[in-house]
Amino acid sequence: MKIKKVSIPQEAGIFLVFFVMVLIFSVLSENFFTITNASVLLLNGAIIALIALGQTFVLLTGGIDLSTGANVAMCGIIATVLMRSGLPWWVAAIGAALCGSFLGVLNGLIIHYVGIPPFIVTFAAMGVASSIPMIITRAESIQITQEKFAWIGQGHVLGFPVPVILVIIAAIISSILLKNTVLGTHIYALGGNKLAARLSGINVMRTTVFVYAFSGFLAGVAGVIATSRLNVGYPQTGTGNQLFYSIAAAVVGGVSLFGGIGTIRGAIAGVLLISTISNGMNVVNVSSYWQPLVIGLIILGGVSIDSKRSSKRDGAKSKPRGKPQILSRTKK
Amino acid sequence: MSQQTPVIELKNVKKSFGPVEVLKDVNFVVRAGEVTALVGDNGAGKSTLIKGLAGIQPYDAGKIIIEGNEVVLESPRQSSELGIDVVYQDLALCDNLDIVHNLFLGREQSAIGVLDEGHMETKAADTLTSLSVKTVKSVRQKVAKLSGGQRQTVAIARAVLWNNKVVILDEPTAALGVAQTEQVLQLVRRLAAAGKAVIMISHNLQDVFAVADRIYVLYLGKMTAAVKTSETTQADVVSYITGSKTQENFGA
Repeated sequence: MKIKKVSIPQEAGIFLVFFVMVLIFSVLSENFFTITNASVLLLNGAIIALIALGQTFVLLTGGIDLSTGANVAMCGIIATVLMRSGLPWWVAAIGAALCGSFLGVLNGLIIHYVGIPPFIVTFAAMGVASSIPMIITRAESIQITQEKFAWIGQGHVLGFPVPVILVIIAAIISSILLKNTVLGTHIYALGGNKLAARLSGINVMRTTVFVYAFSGFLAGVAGVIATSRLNVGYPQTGTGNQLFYSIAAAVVGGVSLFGGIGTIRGAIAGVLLISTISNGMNVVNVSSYWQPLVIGLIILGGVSIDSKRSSKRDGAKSKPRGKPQILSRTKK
Repeated sequence: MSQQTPVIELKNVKKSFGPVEVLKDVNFVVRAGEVTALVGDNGAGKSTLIKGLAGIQPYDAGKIIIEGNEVVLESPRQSSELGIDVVYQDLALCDNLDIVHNLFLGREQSAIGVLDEGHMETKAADTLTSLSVKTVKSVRQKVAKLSGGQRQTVAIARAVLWNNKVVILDEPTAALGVAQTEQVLQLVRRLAAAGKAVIMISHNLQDVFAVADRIYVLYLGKMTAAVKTSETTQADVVSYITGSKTQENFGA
């Protein structure tokens, strides 16, 4: 029996770039390679990491979820509102995350049954989900009524920040789901050849709904963490660059926008790289106006490599996989 | 052979798309241990006939009798459960998955949702060996890396893995070179020798005459001939396909 070949080279490349970036920023500023900054980097990275993990599942099926950023905002406010209604903080947190996955379920059901491209459905959901917290709060911040809620975003367990622990747990669960379960195989199959998946008797509806629900759930958790860190319900939390950075992270980490290819390990490597670049630019005082520009160029580079790779893959075989439907969708 | 109950028997099967009648009272009989070729020009209704058996596109009317029992086929799952599997022309394989995962796609071996990789790998290797497939180096190769013939082999092995009674091959040699065609045809013969009922759709009469025991001809939605390969000639079959001739006394 032969051992399965692992695509080490590609991910090793990302880690290499990551270390080079760390080195460069460390030379540029003595404030970069410090424990304080490392924890800032990881905490900021936690939000992006959670969204990127969910996004990876969706991308693997050949879809895309543009509603995650808005979902972060919506779930943050939902958590705040639930606490104000008198529910214990942890019930509010779980309730908010479930609301996030509910939005995902709706996305998945519409995509499957109505047959609208994921780009359009989640684009519309983005509008809806970013509006709801504004309507609830009348665009004002709302006070958080329970002090213990702050533990989720600011607490520590055995010296590790709670958000980082949550990311690690989410990453492990994601990795096991994709690698070792029937569901994971079906997710890859859906992205590889949807027709084949359907003809093989795979439940396409259930698989589609699951990936969007999972993405929504993690966005919900991210919303809870972000709100807890701010310690105030702010209706526009997460509607900034988070979606943009999370897709960048997944793509740079080797998750294909064409579907069917990518790993959790890669996505996490991408998150580390993107977070490091973003944080490093802050530390060396690059104006924040420049950051999306740099990240944008990184996405472009990542996708170029990806499409080169997949055209090489197609060139060798008789069957073209069709035009990448998603490329036009990434210019958010 | 003729005394045995046929594995599949279709009686007066009909199918229309709007006003267009694609299948008109078609009768079709498939026996175990034989290769039954289904030939006909483009648009004759071959694919529609097969899609009905695969449960993808149920017939409008008519009887489907599997091993003597009348059944209803309305989903691919029902067909699979009855032991009917289709190997599609466009090769329904996932390029991004390895051979093992493709062979077991939709029917993975698992305990509470967790894949039993070891068991699947062994069974996949055994199946390929039983089909005398030696060209595939590792069952953990991604299907994208395989040649056309190897892909066809994997697609056929998929149907064999489940001990299917019926294997339907849709243009199995259409995209293959000479040597690979020969390999696949040998594989088709082995399937029949192993007691399976094989239905082969093909445009290539040379291939049909090389492996088929019986030939059924569809012409504009009607079955116009059902002949034993040993009792006919390519010229006759061509005239059945083009409609310039109909088998005497056919349709009784």
